[in-house]
Amino acid sequence: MTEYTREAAVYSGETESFMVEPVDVVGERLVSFLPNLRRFAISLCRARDVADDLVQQTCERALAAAASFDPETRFDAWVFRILRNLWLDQLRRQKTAGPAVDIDEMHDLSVASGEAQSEARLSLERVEAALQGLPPEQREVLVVVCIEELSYRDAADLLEIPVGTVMSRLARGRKALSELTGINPEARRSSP
Amino acid sequence: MTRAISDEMLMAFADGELAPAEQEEIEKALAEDDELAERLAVFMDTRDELAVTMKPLIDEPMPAALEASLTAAIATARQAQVTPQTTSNTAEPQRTETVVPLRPRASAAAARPTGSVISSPWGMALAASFVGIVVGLGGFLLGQSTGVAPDGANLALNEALETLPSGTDRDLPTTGESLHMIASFRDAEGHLCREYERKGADAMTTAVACHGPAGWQTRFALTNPVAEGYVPASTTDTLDAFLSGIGAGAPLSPEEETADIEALRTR
Repeated sequence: MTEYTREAAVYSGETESFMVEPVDVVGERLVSFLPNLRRFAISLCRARDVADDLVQQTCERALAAAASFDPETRFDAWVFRILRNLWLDQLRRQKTAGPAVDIDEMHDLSVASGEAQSEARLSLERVEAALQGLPPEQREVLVVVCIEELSYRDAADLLEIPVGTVMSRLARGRKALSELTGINPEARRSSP
Repeated sequence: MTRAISDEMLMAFADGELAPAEQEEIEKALAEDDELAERLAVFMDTRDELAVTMKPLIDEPMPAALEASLTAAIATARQAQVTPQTTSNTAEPQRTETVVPLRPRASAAAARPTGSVISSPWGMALAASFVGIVVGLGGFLLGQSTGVAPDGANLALNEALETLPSGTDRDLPTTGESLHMIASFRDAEGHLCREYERKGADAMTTAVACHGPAGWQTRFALTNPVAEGYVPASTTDTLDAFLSGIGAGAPLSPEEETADIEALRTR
């Protein structure tokens, strides 16, 4: 993800003497990164409308803070961190102020009103539901390592926790997930 | 048998995160221990399952509204960059001061005409021209919330900031307001910050105070008339933008918060 180039500088032409405005750099990268950002948001909070709101707020914040993005660093980690912090704010608000809408209920509704559900669709719903069953701090580690494929080190930087904590949360989260999805042979035997 | 192999180590093996020597150790152990292989399978299977089911989410059709909102946000940000001074004139009196200290103020300062400025319409205008304000001020200030507060109120507030756990309430007897502590976090400089609400008979203030070298300082305060108990959406947006601007970290856990405010008191 460090393929930052100075193309934009070439186009910006005469008057601006090769200055690239941070907003343009960040804006351009947000446009191409939008699908990744949306996947990350859906993985964290599942409900598509909530995820889309998160993505939108993330873009606004990223643009407002564009000057603080260092093009030599990873753009994905930078925006993922913004989105993840917004998501945590949201969880915190729900906890302290009381949720405005019961999000879990919303998920169930969207799942129940299914069209013709393919095998892939079903397993997606099963895994999404299992992820939602995990505590947020385990869920976010699983998402960044197993879906976004960050290394333990990069995940630790993104989540601002030690690598050891990444590993213990990730291991616990995966064992819990395996029971929730029934991947674990033991769990499969004991459940009907 | 080799020494006990932890879940973390097995998982790191499954994820290809081990150094060659450790990797070899696990490979050897796996060859002679079926139970270990079963434990390993949990980590390999969960990773596969997540990757196979969740990665294709990237191909889900992008909602047009989301794309449109990004395009609009880029245009707005660009414009704000070109004309950083296009903030509303009503914000003018606020520009010189970026931080309102919570400490007792000199009476000259108390005479500043702040109280009337902070009303809901102003807050909305501010939220709308937010990016412009950031550039223009080089910082955030949404004004002091209650105008002239007696010193006793500040003391009570300081005290609450250093004792009240998030999620709990306290009455501020001097002003007749009730204080609801929302959360604690650290800003980019590592200062402890606390977000709270103060609810009076006819107005509600959402505020963030941070503890710096000079003690507690209000870094953000936005007052709205109480309207059936709802906080206008613009307040949340403005607060979010502020939090992002100061590089606010994740909310502290109750244990972290207790330890941090304890540390302030015993300093």
